[in-house]
Amino acid sequence: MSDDPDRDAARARLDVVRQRFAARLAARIVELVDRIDAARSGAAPIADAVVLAHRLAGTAGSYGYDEAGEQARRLELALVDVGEGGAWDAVDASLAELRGLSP
Amino acid sequence: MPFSKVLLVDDDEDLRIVGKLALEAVGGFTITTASSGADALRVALEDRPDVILLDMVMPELDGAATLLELRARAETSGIPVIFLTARSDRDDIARYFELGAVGVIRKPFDPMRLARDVRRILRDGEAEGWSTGGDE
Repeated sequence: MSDDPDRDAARARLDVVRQRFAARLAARIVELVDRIDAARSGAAPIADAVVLAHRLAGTAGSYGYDEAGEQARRLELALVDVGEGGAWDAVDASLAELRGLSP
Repeated sequence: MPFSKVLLVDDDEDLRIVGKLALEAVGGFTITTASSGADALRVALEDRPDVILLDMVMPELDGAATLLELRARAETSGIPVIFLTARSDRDDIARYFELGAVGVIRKPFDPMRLARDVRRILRDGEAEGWSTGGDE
């Protein structure tokens, strides 16, 4: 508790949305895995996976999931690299790390 | 000039949720949101916000293109725009200011500090006699 009840109330509301986001974070990681699988098989453009990784990178940290956000950023960059002809190794490594961070 | 109405534009729903709460509950702003550049243009015309927080990377109409569209309309040309971006490259940031942004806020952001950062940018911009290009 601080001496600012409005700030305490705001912090409490943020805690609630953060808890709700935890469930969505897990679902978003699953969706990202699916999108990457689709890109790898050629069923979908890799740009779709890049977009999901980019969004997650910007959002997860804003909910306090800093590690997940940073790992999503690395995954985004690795996916961009694949799109430019690079190997999948870095994608696989980042994805494994990100899955390990799923709530 | 008091700033109370903020239009928050981002294509990620979860980002809009935490951003809206941060600006409303922590900062005391009145918030409207938009999920795309096209949506932002419509809402800006209808609601005439005092400031727009605009995501840079969005499909179709991205932040830069949206800003140009806002500047091209007399009704919205003077609204200050702050870019929200996950990018940190100095060249990118410099380009955002060249496009006419009055400030840049990095994603991820701390929800307890977001409103303070918005106010600081607006205060500094006013003190420096900013120009959004709308009256020129």
